[in-house]
Amino acid sequence: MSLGCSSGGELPVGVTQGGGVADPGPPSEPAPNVIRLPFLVDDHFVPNGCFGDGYCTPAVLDVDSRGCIDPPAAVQGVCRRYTYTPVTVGAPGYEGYVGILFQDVGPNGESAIGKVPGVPVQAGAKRVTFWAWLGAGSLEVNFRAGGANNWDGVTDDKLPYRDTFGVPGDVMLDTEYRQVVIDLTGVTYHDVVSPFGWAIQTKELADPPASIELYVADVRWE
Amino acid sequence: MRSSRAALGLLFLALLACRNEDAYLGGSHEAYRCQTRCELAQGVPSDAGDWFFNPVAELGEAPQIVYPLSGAVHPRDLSQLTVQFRRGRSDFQVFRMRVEAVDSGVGYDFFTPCLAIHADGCRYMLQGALWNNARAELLGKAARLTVTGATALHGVLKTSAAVALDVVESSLGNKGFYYWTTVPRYSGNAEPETGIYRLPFGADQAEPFIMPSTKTNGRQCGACHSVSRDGSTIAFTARDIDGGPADQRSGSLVTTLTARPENHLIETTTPGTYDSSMMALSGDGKRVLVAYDEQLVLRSSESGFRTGEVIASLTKAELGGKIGYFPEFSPADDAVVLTLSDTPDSAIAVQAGDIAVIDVDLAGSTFGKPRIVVPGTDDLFHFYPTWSPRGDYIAFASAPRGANPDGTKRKSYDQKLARLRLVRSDGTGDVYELANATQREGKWSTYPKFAPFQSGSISFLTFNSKMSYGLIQDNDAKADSDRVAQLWMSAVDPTKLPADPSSPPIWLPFQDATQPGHLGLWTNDVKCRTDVPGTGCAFGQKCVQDVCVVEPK
Repeated sequence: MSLGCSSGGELPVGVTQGGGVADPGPPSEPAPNVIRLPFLVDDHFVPNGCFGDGYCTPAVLDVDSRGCIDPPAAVQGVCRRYTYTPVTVGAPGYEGYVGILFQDVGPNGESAIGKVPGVPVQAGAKRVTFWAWLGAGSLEVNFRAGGANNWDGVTDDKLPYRDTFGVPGDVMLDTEYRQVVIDLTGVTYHDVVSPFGWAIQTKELADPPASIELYVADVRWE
Repeated sequence: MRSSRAALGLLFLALLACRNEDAYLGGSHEAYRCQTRCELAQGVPSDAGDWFFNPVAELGEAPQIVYPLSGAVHPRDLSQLTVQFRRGRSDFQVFRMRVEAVDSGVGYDFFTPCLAIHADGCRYMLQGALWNNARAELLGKAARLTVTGATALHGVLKTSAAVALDVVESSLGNKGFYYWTTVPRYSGNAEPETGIYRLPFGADQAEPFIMPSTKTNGRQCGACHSVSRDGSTIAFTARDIDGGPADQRSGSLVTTLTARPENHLIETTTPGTYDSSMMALSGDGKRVLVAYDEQLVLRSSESGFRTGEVIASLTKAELGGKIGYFPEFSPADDAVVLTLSDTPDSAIAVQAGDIAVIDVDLAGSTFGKPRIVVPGTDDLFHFYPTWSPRGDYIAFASAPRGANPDGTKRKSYDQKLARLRLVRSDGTGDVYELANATQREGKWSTYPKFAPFQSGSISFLTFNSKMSYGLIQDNDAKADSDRVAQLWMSAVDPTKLPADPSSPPIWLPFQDATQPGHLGLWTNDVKCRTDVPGTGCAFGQKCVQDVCVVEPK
């Protein structure tokens, strides 16, 4: 009985006849401040970049990190329930949408979009994956990888920080769990301000619901 | 809907099965077959099992397990364990976590990528059906955990040093646990939700219970608390922070049935009145012993019987000229253990202290003379005593007296040098260090509380500490002021005495590792609330005979 390595009798590339492997040794390590792939977004970022209706007061958008009733079995990351209570048309603070960007916390506690610096992330990410569903009904949700101070290409140059990329992932959700993939193939980046975010628009809905429960779990960069 | 969700989950968590044995046939090996004791996590190739028949790498580092701590005792009732490890070689692509009881041939494999934490760290949470099965099969067996990294299908691999772990029956399932923590809210610059949370043990998450500026607590703060062992009653000190005295000599006693915390038995008195700092409820919740203003006061918290009235009191003179702090009733309610101090620091902290026991007759509302169990010395002071489930031992914290680097006197509160210790409750014998639980001085390991339930010779001791939780909460890499206290639990087995009877602790997985956790207290159960709509239990639980129990997944 051999303890050599083969899955079928043919010596694989890099394995010598004697069973040894031509191991060049490990490559050099990435810089310690670079987030390596894959990672759970919640391990490095927080959902602190809110924008839209009602100045994002808790009455408009409640972020509940303990609010998931029965997340998919395989999730490793945090599951959150976002409860959006749209501001009525014409009321103070009405924008017709709300959204959240995950960001780092600025060196002085900053959380406003455009004021939080990016974090270096290892190059070569292929996708962002996550689970999402609604508490009731169905609705399109605009997910994003990147897009901080660069949502749909709109940038405020007066703000110091922005993402250099913004990859959309617009998905129709309902109450069924759905694993969503945002393809990052071909996207280049170095510092990432917001690895993930979402927005819900009620402006164009004929009959906006009084309240929307969005569940998002296990956001990963891979 | 649930079935379709389950099916979707299976799509992305390819549960195959493994024989957990190398199957080499005539110089090649049969493809690894993952069967009932194997799991492939998202992000690993379907042939990941075959990556681990490779030769061992000669170059580079092996993975290193950082959490769990070797020798830790894991109650079967805890359904999650997040393994954290340093990845070793930077080109390891897939990792195999193997949990096995070598002597009995039971082994489980979990294949995962490195979900990156820290600079070179990885995490993977053991959970779900396979981990449930593993805990059941490993119960009572000497198990070990290893992590092996592999570079490629035909690459090289290297295995970590093994970490010992024991899975034991605990009888903790669905017992009540109350603790203080904060929950960030993120939106709109909202302040975090801070207060007393609770859960039946085994639940994934705690629910907010006594929260400031709500019907459960009309004042701004409520941290010091006690819960009766039968789970029926909670007591706490309600305080307004703004404008109060700096030494915390303020606050009003509140008691309430846990089934209806918005309807208080003892309500706060007029603002500015000081009648509570720390307190202990009797096992049935009908009496509360309150420590404040250099006295101990026994009050009725019994509905319909002199509710709120002072029944008896003990003055400083009756306590031998010392002040009573941190009381706790014995399991039989026939004694109180507490700290006696002649050098107080504030209303909630001491700079010197003995551990003492006072016999109590609650029926007659009488107290005996204090009996010193562990005297303080010029060098050492003692605080936060707690009874073992059978009342035969007392665990407590000790710290060296003296001055901090800034010249202030060391105190019991937030004490960096606190360590956990154990003594027989009759004061005979030695004082034993719970060094495995403490994990070295300088970690703020303090506020021990025994779970009042015993499994064989083992009982469980929870405490808060600022030791590192693996790499996820790397306190050891932080400045003192940035460390975050977390709740931990150690198994204590007095049959091991005079050797250290404590095990290295486990981190309690219902916490948010980014938020502080303090003041954990145990009860027999969690009562269903009757003052709110619905079942009166948090999601994932159901109310059975007035008690919240965790629903199996």
